[in-house]
Amino acid sequence: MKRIALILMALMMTLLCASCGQASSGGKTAQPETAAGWLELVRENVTFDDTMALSDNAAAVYGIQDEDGYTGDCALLISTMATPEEIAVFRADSVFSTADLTVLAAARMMRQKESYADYAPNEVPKLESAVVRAIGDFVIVCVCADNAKAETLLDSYA
Amino acid sequence: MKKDKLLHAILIAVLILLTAVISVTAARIGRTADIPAPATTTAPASRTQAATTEPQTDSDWLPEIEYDTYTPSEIERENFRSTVILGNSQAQALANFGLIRDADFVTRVGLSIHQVLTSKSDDPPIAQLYGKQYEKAVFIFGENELGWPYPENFIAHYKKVITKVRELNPGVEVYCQEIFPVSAERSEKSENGITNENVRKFNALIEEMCGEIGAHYMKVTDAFFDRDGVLPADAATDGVHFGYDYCKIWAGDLSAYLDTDEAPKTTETPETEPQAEETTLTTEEEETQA
Repeated sequence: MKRIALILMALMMTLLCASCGQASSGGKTAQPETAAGWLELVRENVTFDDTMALSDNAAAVYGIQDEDGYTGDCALLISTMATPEEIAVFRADSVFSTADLTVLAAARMMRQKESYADYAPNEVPKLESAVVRAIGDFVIVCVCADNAKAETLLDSYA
Repeated sequence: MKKDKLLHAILIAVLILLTAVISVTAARIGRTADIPAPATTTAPASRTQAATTEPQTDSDWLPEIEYDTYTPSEIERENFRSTVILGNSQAQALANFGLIRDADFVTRVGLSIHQVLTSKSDDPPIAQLYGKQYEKAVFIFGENELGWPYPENFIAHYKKVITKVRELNPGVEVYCQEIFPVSAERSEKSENGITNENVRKFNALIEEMCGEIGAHYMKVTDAFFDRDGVLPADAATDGVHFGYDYCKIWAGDLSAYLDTDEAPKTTETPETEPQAEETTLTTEEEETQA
């Protein structure tokens, strides 16, 4: 009897530990497979001060010209320009590698900082803490009201 | 002894029950742990739908994002071909939202009229027009200059820029956008001179300038006025910068203006290019630019 009770208690403790472990590990889901998927993942987990809208003009906004020949999957959620908030996602292709796209993202953040430094200096901290991450084939850029949250989210997928 | 056996039996039954409960709970936690907690946005993105099922894969988890279904007509596309749009952050939004694809944009957040021909770096914005030929040039300025204590300086710089664009593009049709009203709330704040009173004052000068130099004056259409004659509160979160829907209306208005073959009204027929006054910004104006 006592032995049975002990065995059952041990089993119970094991199951308890297993469930806690699973809850705290974050249980990574499959990574989004599209630019839109990544954009939505970030969007649902951060907040914005501005009114945001989706645009299918991501490449042009980031300085990629038609003649550059970029055909990668991309997505853009952008503000009204009252703030520099945005989420941009680009997938590398044969023309632009993730390194190239990361450079483009950094250049855009620099230009935005220059523009907003005079126009709305209180918005510059968002650009200084902007999140730019290369995960797999994708480069994800996030400028929002809580960049730290975006950083934590994306780092969990890196 | 019997009592002991009974107690043992109850204890084992309780343990079995607990084991079963914990097993079920562990299975549930395992399934839900990989869903990030949804966050709320201050203003939800337009044209997206809420997820309704637990995500397992990308296609299962994430809603289809509906991109802009606005497709400009061939007439609208034609109206913007061979067109350059020079302006401020409001104009920049038209490009960012992808509402006008066929025009070239020389726009920047915070761009003021006096910065078009000069720059702290080597390439002033006007340099983007070098080597290109446009049939139409659209100017969207004024919002950032409403705080200038001398509006006549704004007009002087405006004329200078238009003169330069005409030098680079002989025969170009010039269109000047009337400054948009701001919301009542924004006007009340009176920051950097952004008030509807100043908007009206500057617009009167722009309209007069257009008459003098043979430029089209593009009036703001009714959609941008509420019954009190100010920008509707829902047009712009900050009372100045339009959201997607109002930018779309504006893009349509611009297309309609560019579609006309009507010559602009002139009060004089200039025989020579207008001589822009040589003015420099006072320190006060530099400090008050938005």
